[in-house]
Amino acid sequence: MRTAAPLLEVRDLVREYPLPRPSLFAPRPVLRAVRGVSLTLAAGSSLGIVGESGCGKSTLARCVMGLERPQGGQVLIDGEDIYALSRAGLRRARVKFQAVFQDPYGSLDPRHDVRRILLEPLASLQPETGRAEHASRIAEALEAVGLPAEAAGRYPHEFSGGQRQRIAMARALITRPALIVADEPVSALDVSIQAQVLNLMMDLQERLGLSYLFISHDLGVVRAITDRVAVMQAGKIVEEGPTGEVFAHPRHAYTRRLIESAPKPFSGRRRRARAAQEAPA
Amino acid sequence: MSLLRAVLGSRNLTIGLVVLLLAAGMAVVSEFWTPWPPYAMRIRDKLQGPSLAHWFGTDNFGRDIFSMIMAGARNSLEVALTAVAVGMGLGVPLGALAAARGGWIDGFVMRLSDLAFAFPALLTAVIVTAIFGPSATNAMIAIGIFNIPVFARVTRGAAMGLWKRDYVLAARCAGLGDAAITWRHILPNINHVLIVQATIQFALAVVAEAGLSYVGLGAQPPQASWGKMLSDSQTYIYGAPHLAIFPGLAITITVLGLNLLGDGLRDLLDPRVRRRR
Repeated sequence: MRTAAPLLEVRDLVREYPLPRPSLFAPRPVLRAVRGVSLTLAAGSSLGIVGESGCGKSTLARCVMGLERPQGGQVLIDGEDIYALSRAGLRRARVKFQAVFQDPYGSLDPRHDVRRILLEPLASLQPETGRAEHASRIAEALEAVGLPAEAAGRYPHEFSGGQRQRIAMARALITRPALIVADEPVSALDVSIQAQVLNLMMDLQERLGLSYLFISHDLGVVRAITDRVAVMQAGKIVEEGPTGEVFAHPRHAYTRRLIESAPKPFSGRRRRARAAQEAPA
Repeated sequence: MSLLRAVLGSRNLTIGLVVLLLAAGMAVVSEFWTPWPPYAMRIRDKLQGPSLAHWFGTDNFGRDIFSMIMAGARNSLEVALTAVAVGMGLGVPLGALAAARGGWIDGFVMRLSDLAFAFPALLTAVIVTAIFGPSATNAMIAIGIFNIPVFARVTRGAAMGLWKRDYVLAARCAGLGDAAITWRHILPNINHVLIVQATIQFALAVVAEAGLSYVGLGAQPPQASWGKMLSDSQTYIYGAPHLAIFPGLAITITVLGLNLLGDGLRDLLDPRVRRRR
């Protein structure tokens, strides 16, 4: 029974990078970016991974995206170990999980128009879809992310950062995946645009029953969008639990430090100043 | 229309394009018509200075120099074009492969091109023509071989940076392999670098062809070649300097034009060095 398995399960994942030898006969030192991470994500829910830069969360994301073969452990999607699959098997499995990247300026090929950008995963992963279906699926994906159908004929440079991230979302959605791995999807955006994109992501989750693995260093963002959160430090998960719980009662010292060091936008004096500003004169 | 305006707005590009079109025009027209048959000797008319009948004068066999320059343009452009095509045809795939795969394949391709680079270009050409015999065809191959590592390096260098872009990761998430990513994402984003490099290599190939023909390893008589004309003129340089001046000018102007074209194209196509003039 497949239904018993969680949508995503990561077991004892280890990902190391060999470093250059310090001298000719010295053994190669190894950077252990992810050292034994396990986590599960149930269908329809979202899991946040937080931690400071360099803690291994992006490496973890790339392993889950099927982009970097780990040295140890497994990534199971729908109960299937994606790194045990053949090349063709992994290709078939990719329909179920897609990715959104941090930099909306770097994640869209400037030479391709939006139609071609959206068509890439669809034509590659679902070759059985015909020309007529392509057009309707592109229109459907654009509509889902709140972009007009005419956007299909335009090029990335004609869009703002927030709109580009919507295009990236549309590209991720077009194969109708169950899981979206989002690596810092709003970090490169203005705060006001962040909120719009986050709202869109939450809205899509509700409508399409998506699951998110949401990587971010921004605690406020993670708090807004995730059901559960895992705190990563130096390649390991130090604390994991329901998002509200972890933020209200952090058990691990690192989590507490992380929460304390995050800027609180509207608290104390600034909130009062803002209230005074907004009060009618 | 904006492209035309951009071309006309750049002096380098305009001059370069005019020179190239002029040389190409001469080469094409020489196939159908030259003022005099370029290979017909008229000893009676030998070593005449420029005149209305013979615009650039005649050589020691009484051949019309302007006609020979036209026929030589065809030879120069043909050799240079083939050499660049050979260099790109093999160098670009090798460089793209090195960038895509990295690791030992990258190391192997790059060490191989280091090896080719270690020999001076002309020496490589001399070796090839010495082995296979002097001819215009072998000159093309020889210059082409020297171009392979040039294109391999330029392609690899430009492609390496792109492989780290997120749109490449997105293409991987779409299940695309290295070859498809190279074809759809890498090459279209580096073609401006390759076009500029091709122009520069084209200019170098014109010089290399002239050099090889000069030392007798390129085009063989009676085929007209600018380099050959230069070497033939040596004996007469004091008595009839126009024998050397006109082919020399042809080489200089063509190479200068191609270099200007390369500079202009780089300014036009490469956003990093694009600047207002």
